[in-house]
Amino acid sequence: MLTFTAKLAHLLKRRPGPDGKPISTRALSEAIRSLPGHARGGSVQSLANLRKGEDTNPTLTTVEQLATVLDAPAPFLLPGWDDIQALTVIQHSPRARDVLRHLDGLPLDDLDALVQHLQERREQLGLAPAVPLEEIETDPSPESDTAPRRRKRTMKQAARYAADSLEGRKPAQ
Amino acid sequence: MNSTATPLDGAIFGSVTALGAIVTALCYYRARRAPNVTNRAITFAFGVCTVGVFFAIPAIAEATEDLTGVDNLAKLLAHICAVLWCLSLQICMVDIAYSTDYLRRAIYQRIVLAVAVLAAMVPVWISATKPGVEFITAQADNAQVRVYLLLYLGYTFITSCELAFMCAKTARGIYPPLSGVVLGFSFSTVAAILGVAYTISRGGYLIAYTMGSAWDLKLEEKVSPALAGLSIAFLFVGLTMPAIRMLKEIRGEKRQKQQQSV
Repeated sequence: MLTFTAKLAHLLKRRPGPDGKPISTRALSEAIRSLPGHARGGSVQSLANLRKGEDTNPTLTTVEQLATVLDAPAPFLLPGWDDIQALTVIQHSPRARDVLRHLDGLPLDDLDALVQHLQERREQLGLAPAVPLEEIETDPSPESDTAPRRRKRTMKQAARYAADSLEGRKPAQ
Repeated sequence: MNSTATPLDGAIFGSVTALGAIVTALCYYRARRAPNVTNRAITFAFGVCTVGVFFAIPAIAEATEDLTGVDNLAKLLAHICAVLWCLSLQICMVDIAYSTDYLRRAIYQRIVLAVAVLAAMVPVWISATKPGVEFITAQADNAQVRVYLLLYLGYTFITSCELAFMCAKTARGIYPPLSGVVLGFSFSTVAAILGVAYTISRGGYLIAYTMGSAWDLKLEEKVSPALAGLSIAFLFVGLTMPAIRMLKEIRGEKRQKQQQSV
């Protein structure tokens, strides 16, 4: 199951800023505050904590704000809902939701046949027949492009590094 | 030449030199076991400190000056070693505090400051060095001596302040709170604070002298060396205390090997 931090990092990567890099936490905060009725929401500190994984339990309002700003289905940011493509289809197409409801109760063989039929039809329309699951990085490191680079180590990292060095162990960078 | 030196000075500086050599060897061993900027910087710091204290031994200082024919050369060498000692301790703490992306830049900034201070100190030393002139607070009436000492003490003050802040911050972040490393960094923090106190005591006297309201020189001559000595002693203990665990681990490893071979 993907963490909230990993999902947020993925959404930020999908919507880069003008320079091609993920937008800064400050820009994200400004985007949230520009939403109607959210002038006081999305503080830089709380968003930074969510990006760093120091806060893994955002409020429902924050989830809604992030989903709106990052143009993603809000359920994707909830635990257990990792298939962003399926959720996007459900969000944008009422007809697709209708199809899904009709799938309820059908045997597995029928579902397999249906998938095969859909793949053939997609090929006829010039679309990619198979739609693989979008890969999402499960543990985005703080140094990856989804998070701003830190000038200094965190207090915990610095203390660990110092302890390892002075006790003659090879410290992790 | 250090005319104010006593036989006790020789014994103290000689003992510190011997201790410095032992500590440097221990740090060198640690740097080979865990090679990184921190351990190399500490090894260099103790090495350079040992050399500096060696040149402060009155007999060595006298021999150096007699051999080269240059007055106050030993004093200059000792001060250069002190600047390098502060610089390497700063580099050690910078390596601990900064991420690898910014480490090089942070190190260069400190090197530039140290080089600038040395570049300012040496010409003043050259122009001030004359027979009978010593770079001590007793000769604060000599303006060049005052400028030279204030340059050196100003740099030591800045670096000691940074070291005190960084050591205290690192000590606070280490868990468990009663480990040897926490004690080590706590000792180092005290050492840096004593370093700040030393520069305030000596530099303060020089500034007060310039302002025309200096306090008793004898008091300064007692307080400042005591603060400097305590500062060095605390730092020696602080930066080598965590290595005790390394030595214990090495003993354990040796025992394990012996048991395996039996």
